[in-house]
Amino acid sequence: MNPTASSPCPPFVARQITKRYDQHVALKDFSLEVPAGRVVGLLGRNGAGKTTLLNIAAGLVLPTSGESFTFGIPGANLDSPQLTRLGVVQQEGRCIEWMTVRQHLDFNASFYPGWDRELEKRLVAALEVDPARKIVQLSTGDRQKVNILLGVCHRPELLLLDEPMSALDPIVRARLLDQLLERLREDGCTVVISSHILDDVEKIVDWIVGIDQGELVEDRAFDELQESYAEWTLISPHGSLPASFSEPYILSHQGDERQALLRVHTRDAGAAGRLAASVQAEIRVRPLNLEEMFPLITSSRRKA
Amino acid sequence: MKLHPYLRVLRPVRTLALSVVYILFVWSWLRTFFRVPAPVDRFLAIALVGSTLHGSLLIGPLHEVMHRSFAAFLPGLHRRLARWHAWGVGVSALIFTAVLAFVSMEVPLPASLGLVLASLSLPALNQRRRFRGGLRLWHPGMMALGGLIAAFAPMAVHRACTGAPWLVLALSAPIVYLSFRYGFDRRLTRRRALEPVFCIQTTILFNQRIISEARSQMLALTQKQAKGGRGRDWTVKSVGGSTWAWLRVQFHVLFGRSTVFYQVVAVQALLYPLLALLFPYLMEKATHPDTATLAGVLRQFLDNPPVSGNPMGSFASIGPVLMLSGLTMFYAVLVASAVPHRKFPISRERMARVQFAYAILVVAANFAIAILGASVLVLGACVLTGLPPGLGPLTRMLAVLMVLMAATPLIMIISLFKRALWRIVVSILLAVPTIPLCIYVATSGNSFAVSPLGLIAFLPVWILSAWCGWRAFLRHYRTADLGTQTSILLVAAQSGCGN
Repeated sequence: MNPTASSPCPPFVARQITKRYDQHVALKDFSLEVPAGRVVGLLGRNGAGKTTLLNIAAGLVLPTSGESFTFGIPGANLDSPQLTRLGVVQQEGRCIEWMTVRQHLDFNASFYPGWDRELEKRLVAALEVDPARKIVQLSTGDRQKVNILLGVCHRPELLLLDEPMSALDPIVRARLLDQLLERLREDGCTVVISSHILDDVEKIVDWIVGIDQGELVEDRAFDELQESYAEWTLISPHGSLPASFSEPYILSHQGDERQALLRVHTRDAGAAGRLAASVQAEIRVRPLNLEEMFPLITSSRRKA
Repeated sequence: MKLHPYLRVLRPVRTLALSVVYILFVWSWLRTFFRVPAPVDRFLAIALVGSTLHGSLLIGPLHEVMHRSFAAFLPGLHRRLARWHAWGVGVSALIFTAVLAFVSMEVPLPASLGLVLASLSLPALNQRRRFRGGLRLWHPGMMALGGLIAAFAPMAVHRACTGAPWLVLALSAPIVYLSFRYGFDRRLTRRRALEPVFCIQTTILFNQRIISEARSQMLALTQKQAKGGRGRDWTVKSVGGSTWAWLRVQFHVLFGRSTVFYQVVAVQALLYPLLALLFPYLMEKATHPDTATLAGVLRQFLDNPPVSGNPMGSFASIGPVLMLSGLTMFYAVLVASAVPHRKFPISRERMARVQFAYAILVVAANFAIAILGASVLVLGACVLTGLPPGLGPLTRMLAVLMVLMAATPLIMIISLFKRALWRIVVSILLAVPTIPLCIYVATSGNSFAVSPLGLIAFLPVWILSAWCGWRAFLRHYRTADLGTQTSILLVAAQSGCGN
């Protein structure tokens, strides 16, 4: 079943939102429409505005100007019908410290009619959480696991994940991703994930939103993005490569007159061939992974 | 409706136990200090003050839930909490009213019910607003209001309840409505979710882990709120190598670049004289109810020497000085036990030096505040009594502080002992000479301590005491687990270092 299929509006829409904290502008004239049923990777450097955007989507923070809608309702007016469909895992979520994990899960479960005990059981096992321990006794990583449990077990239609895996070890991260993928297959829910562990993000995202200094710099399908960013290796047996390249799609260049490594951003399929011909060199094309694309995406606006 | 999660959050046994203690405490105060006559004191203790305190205990755990980040996303949380609270208030109101029907039979039931309902509901209005520097005004405000009613209008409240019971019940309705309406306002969700709150049911019984967690969360919030207090990485390259430079970092980390520290100092300087005067006045009122007046207490305070021939003759004359000293001591212990363990990139010995200097500086600031408080008290007393200003009380205060300065470094290290038995033994060993000496110095009017000869006599004692304190800090920091979430008290209690 795909619950979002019946939704008449996208899970989250931002229209020209600006968010200021005193003098600091966290988001500036930011517009975005999160497509339903997608897994959106939110990319940006520290302080780019990712957490602010997720908090606005969750209704925790309101924009200084502009409009934001979650499930078609303004962020300030989110109420039970919307919150039941929303799951949030915060970077530094605070739980009730004196409760045990079990007590906390039971407490939160009492607020959701659709709390999935089976999913909870699977996740508790996969994330290796001891339900008998008190929250205050847990390590940072274990607290993050509890936050994930609290945000996911009611099977939300829109899941906002803010650095959910930053304190988890690789084994638990892999298990969590497996569980998330399974969830996505079962429910087709919309996920917005902000994480700096891009290797993991790459495995599940199909849409990329890039933010830099509070501005939107990328908003497109991941496949499309992979097609447009590439690494070209030019090899000239005669050593005739130029010291620099003037083509606007070339984002970075290193090498010498015999071999050059170029990072490019173009959707022109024939561009590689034309460049190779113009400098009389062989060319090898390799698509970039998300980790390699990240600096190019987040620095493109600064260069411009 | 499911009440199980509510009872889980409320912790009824702790709530009930605290309520009983509160009510007995309030009742004894109304009788002893405020001299409220017998039937009225019971009525006020249960119907007004006790109910308000019980209401605070009922709403505290719910506020604790509201002030967690996940609370903003729980569907229908505020409606659910309001319903739970209505149950708690309703059941409590019935019990309180039933008790009042037996112990205050002269008050009609509608009045009892109305006053109890309003008092139980009122604490829901506490928004737990935290001002810069972590100041909260609700509890001091409520205490002041309670004190004013107990001191000036106990009979009026009682008369109103016996004379117009239905009016009291009718007037309670809007109070109850407004308390629920604004206490559970969904618009406050966002602000509440960002500010942690820990209720007394959670922190009672000195749960060190919880207290440490609460302290570290409050500290993080204070730093976040402080202008320019955002977290940053401190390196030797950016800070420098001197102890003084790292001491400044320590202050910056704790208080930010704002004036939070000075605000705390100012509030303390205002509170100290008030507290120092309140208890001696209440004691005097309790022992001499007919003759005790504020002016009389202030006159005795200004006397020098205070009470000739009878050192404990009048609490009013030495009480303020001893109160100020006691507060100073209490704060010194609090500061020393709360010195946070931080991960600065410096050696453990340098770390010990920074933390010891920090503790000493804060305690010294507190000593200065006590002197400032005493000065304010003296000036205030002179203005109110019309007597000329005299240095007598200040001299006594200084003399007591000089004794305390010798004891403070040793008191500061009590929290470093892991075993409670050692803490108790050392506390007793320190208290046995210190307290009588302070009382003697405060009562004798002997100015030897503040004379040049006295200074020379005290100097080696201070140096020896400071050296002992420093050695204990150094030994502790050489072996303690350093982390951002812990403080000396917690580490000493867990790791076994320090003794």
